[in-house]
Amino acid sequence: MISPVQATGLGKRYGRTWALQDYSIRVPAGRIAALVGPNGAGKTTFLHLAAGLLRPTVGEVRVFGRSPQEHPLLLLDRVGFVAQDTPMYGDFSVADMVRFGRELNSHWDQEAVETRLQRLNIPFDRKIGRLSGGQRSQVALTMALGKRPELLLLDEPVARLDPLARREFMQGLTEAVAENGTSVLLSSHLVADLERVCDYLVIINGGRVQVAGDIDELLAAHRLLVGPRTHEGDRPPGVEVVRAQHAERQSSLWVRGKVSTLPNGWREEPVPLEELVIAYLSVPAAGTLPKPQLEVA
Amino acid sequence: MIWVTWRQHRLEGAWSLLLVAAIVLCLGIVIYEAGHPGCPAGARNADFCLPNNAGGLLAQQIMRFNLVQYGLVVLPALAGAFVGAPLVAREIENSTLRLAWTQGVTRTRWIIAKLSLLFILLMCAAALVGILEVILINSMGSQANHWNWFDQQAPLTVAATAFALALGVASGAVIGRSIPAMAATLIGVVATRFSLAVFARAHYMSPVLFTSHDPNSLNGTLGATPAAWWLDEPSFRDASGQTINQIDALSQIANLSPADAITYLRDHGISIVQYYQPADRFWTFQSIESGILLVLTAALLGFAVYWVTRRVT
Amino acid sequence: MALVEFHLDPTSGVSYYVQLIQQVQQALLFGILKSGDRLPTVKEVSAQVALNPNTVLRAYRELENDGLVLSRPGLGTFVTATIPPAVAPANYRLLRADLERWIRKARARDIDDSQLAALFAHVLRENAEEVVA
Repeated sequence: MISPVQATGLGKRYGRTWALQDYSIRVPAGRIAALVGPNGAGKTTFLHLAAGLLRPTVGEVRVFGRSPQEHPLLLLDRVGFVAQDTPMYGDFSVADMVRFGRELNSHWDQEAVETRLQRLNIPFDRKIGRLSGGQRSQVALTMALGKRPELLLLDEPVARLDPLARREFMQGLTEAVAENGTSVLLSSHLVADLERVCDYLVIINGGRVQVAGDIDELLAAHRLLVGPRTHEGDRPPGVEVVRAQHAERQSSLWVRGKVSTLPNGWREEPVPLEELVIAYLSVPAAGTLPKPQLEVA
Repeated sequence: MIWVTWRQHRLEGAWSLLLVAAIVLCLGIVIYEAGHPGCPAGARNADFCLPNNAGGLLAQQIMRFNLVQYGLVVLPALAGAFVGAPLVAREIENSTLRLAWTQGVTRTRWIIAKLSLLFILLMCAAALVGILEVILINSMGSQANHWNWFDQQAPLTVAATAFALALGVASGAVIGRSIPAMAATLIGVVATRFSLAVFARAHYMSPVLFTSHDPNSLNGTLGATPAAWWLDEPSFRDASGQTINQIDALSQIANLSPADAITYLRDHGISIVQYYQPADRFWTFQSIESGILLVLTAALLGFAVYWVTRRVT
Repeated sequence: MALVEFHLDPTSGVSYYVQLIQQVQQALLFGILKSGDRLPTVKEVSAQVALNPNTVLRAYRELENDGLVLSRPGLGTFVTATIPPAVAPANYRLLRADLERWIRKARARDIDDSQLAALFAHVLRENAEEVVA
């Protein structure tokens, strides 16, 4: 299946600053992929590049094998995008926003949109500016789903929501994915949500991609090794050390790979997802990925 | 896109409609009353007067305060600033472009649809008020001088409105913030139109030189050239074309009778001259200035579309 | 209305798909789900617990591999296991008695509650992964 989002050598520069550099990833189809990284790492820039709002400075990004610049209409029909802080027209009513979506999109499912909003108890005559944060996010998601997209790009969709609103948003998202098989790429800080909802993880740091892979595989591939204090150069054979922390008498090594035999005094533990993310984020130089072959449609 | 454009800009649209309706109403009243017979005693010019009934008094007030005339001059600039400037700028500063440009229409279609609707509506409004103004001036009879209200008539009102809108949209797209863009538009429109009016307009065609030996022509009542645009003050010239001191010349004929003065000036090769543009050139000049503004409009619109589709991030 | 609901524990250290499997097994064990019952759809489960549909699918597939359920395309996933009706009260009394003995044993050795809980969770997790593997 053709990848919904792939990039090779992608870079974007603003003036003298590179917002992202040498991005090379290939998100598999049918996944809910998470884009995780510190602020300013380039998450929003990458999503905007994929959505066709920005042009790359170098390299390429392809959505379903096509460049957003070369096939704008094709991709606009297949990709739903919700920007950070869900920009909408504050003085529009919910009904106005729905009509906006209907007028500007060719494959609009008006009935599904209305049903969804009714089920969520969102009043059609309420102005967007007077909706709660949770309601607003749901309206934005509904709008993006209205054109029955094959790919959803969400920029920090739950950042400002309380726990209940977050849960309801995620429920809506997973339900929509279950129904339509939509691929999703969402950026977020909240790792706890990601573990339930996402099955693919991309970690970016300092404008570069550190890690990209199936969450289950990543969790299976990483271990925390704790043992007596080692020296800088000492590395257990056959594994890649992502991060090393040393106390006076003890060393902790976050490694990627399988350790065949553990030396005496060492124990091995699984790494929870949040710890894995933190380990990579704290060592910007960690993680290297080979460049994928770009699929062209 | 028609519904979307209207819904987004209906506030500006409503205000524009209101303003235009008010001006149309005022112009209509004056035109209507001017067509009625029955002038008050001592009216200045029998060709154009307004009756003393209720409608006529209202029309007189409208004419006295000149608000309509000032309004017609500034309306295009206001349209450019309040409708044109926020068109793109507001969506940039509110980040709603991230919503609008990820729906099912390309940026090009989006901007062209918005521009088309607004231009058509506002230019029609400008045409309406401009034509009414022409009718009004025509109804003034023999004292009507179209040159006195150059900026307020069609087709210039249409071209000026188009220019202001185009400048507004372009400024908004580049500056990206509504208030600064509005300011830039107002300044730009005023500066351009002022420059054209003051520096360029007199020279669209070579001015005609009016020559006379009659000192009465200094009073500016030239029956031979009614409704002209006088470009400067009358001056005295000698036979070789050099300007001579007015006081000097006048003192030479101070004690002569009017007929003798004419003879004296003619015999001494002294003429009174003044540059003007004749009445029959008025519509040509309107076309020329409108043409200049429309060329600028086209350039600005092309730039605005380019900027929106290629440069805004 | 779905016959059963699921509850996920993010802190248990057990994969979510395993938790789903365990909860289906428990429901079967205690007679809440019987042969012929239809499990909630993947969509219903995803929506109810905000869980990735692929994870739900994986759990249902494993249950099918274990012979506990059968997926009928277009109709749903149905319980096939013919587990005898739950004898909950008897088992329950048995397990409870064992548990009380175990706790008294631990207390006699001055092992405190939190250490006990950690030991229990650890062994339970190990045991769970063995069962599924």
